[in-house]
Amino acid sequence: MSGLVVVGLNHRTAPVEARERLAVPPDGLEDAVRAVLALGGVREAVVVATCNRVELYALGDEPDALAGALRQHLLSRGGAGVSLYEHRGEDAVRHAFRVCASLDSLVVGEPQILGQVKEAVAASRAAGGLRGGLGRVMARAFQAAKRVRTETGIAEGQVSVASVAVDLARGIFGDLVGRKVLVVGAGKMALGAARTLARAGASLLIANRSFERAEALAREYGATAHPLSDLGMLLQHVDVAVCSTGASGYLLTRHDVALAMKARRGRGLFLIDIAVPRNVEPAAGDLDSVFLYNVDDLERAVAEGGHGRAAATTDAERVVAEELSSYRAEELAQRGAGPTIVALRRRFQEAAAAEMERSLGGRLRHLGEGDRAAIEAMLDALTNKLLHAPTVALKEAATGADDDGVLRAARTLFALDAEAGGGRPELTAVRAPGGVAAKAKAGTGR
Amino acid sequence: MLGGLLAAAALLYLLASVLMLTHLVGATSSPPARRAATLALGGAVASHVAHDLLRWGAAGRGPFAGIHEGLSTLALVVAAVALGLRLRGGRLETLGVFVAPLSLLMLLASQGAGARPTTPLSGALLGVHVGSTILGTAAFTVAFALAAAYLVQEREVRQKRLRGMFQRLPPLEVLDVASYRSIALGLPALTLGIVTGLLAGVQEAVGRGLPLVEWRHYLALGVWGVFASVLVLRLVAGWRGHRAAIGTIVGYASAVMVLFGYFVRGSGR
Repeated sequence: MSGLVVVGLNHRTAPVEARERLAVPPDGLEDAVRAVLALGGVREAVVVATCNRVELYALGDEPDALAGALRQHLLSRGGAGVSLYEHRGEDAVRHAFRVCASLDSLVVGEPQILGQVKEAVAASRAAGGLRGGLGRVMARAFQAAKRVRTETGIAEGQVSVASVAVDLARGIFGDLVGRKVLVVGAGKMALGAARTLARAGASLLIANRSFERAEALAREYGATAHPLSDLGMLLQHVDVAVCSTGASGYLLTRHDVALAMKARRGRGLFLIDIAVPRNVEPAAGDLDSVFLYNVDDLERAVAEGGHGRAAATTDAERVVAEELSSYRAEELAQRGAGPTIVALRRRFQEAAAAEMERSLGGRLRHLGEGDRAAIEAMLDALTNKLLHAPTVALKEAATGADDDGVLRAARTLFALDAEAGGGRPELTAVRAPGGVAAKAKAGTGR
Repeated sequence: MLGGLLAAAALLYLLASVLMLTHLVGATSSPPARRAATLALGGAVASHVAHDLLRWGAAGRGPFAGIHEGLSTLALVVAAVALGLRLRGGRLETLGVFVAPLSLLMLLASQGAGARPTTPLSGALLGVHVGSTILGTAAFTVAFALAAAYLVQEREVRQKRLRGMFQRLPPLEVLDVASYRSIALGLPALTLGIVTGLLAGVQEAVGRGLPLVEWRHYLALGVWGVFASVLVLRLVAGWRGHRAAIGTIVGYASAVMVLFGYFVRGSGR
């Protein structure tokens, strides 16, 4: 995968102030992919945008030019002055595997990232950004992530952002029974934190731009629903507010919070802002009795609580290395055994097409279109079945020590080299509605 | 014997302070260290009580004769409160880390160079004066410790350090409310102490032909005023948390200055 390049920034290279400038809302992913595809020289693209990272994966023929274009693209979109990282070829594949396996996350082992990359891949597919190569990389990355979660203890005993939020709320208020928690927006992480706080005895209030959505969530979570326009009033009465809307500007300024604090007569307020871009003006956290935590603060706290997972992380890195090696072997196999497999399929399809044409032109000429299609599909299925085992054997042989012997044997047994010399009729693969059949095109000897 | 008990109490206050501080700032909580700190504090309180009882028996009067003995008794009362909280468990048990060093300092100060024999107390008015003043000041000492703990815990929360001290110190609101209650308890006691002290002073001044009001009376009223302001501002202007903690610490610092004044200028009464 030498043409694969990834350029991006994450929680390690850029603070939330920088990441929020490049944030892509979930419904903007497809447009973001189209914008990358429009850069020129980009065959395939995936845009991964979470609250912790913005990464552009692109496949093209000129990695240097591609990397430059991706960098320029990010810089022009608000990334000026931000340190961007870049991975190419196998390093880029490894990076994708590690990201999906949550090994590159601030909270190693956190489960959200896999779902977020899957959403990014779905958006890319919808925008026409996947044609095979990059899709294969991502599929293998998902497979690696699944193995990491099931075969290592990386997710065990994981301290989640929600539980840190509860610890913090307890550190500020003590008992949470009867406390009021306001959820602003409908982000999964915010609702998760709110649910954990509710389990600790707090009552929930949900405010959303769409009141219908707030009502639906309120029913689901046993909360009360409020329109977003009530935010200022609600802030006067709640103890904790978790903000996670997709608003591009501050939903709560320092002034708004100061006004609420005046009405609260100094009662403590815990603001959790897990939105990127941020919903709460950072200066609000300087107010007396206001404790403001953003996504970086919470995740850093979670990461600090992640002691004892070193062994699981080592195991996870080993799984990723195995998956990478397996992917590499598959790619090599496809490259090494590829021409032989293609020639072999062509030989079988050619034979099937020739026989079919002969029969349909002779004894079976009375058959209608439907019957002809059925026979074509049957021949197709037969070809695939017969070729499955040899294809797998050729791929495996190509990665083993004795690849040359098996490949040579296959080429000799089926006279594939003769075809390469041009002594065979020219065939064109025609995709039939039910599958692939080969039809002989008029050529020498026909 | 008496000196030995007091020295043992001082050493144990010191040991308890060190152990509690080590436990508070340590990376991980150590149950043996915690138990050792409680034992040291318990030993200090026991030695201190034994000393006061023996002296009481020997002198035939309570340990309240003058500011120096009063200070030693104050040290004992706040240490006993901290020990009680520790034995009861819960998150306020860590308060001892702020109280034990204060008890040590007060005990040392009571035996310091400025200490000298004072006139034994006589009369019910003076008894009420000393008792309520010690109770009020003990409440303010506890409020000060709570306010100090609040500022430390607030710093941990603001600096996003959620391990170690954050986990061992009480929740901010618990500290804030407990500090408020301590002041609310201490202020009436101190008010009574000041009023009875003034009355006793007037009686004595008239009898001996001394001035009715002295500089230290103004200082005592100043301390009262600071704590009363913290309470009033909390109730009227919503002063809580950080501001209330600073107010409490300022009030306590002014009380310490008054005590210092007593030491420097002396008080025969």
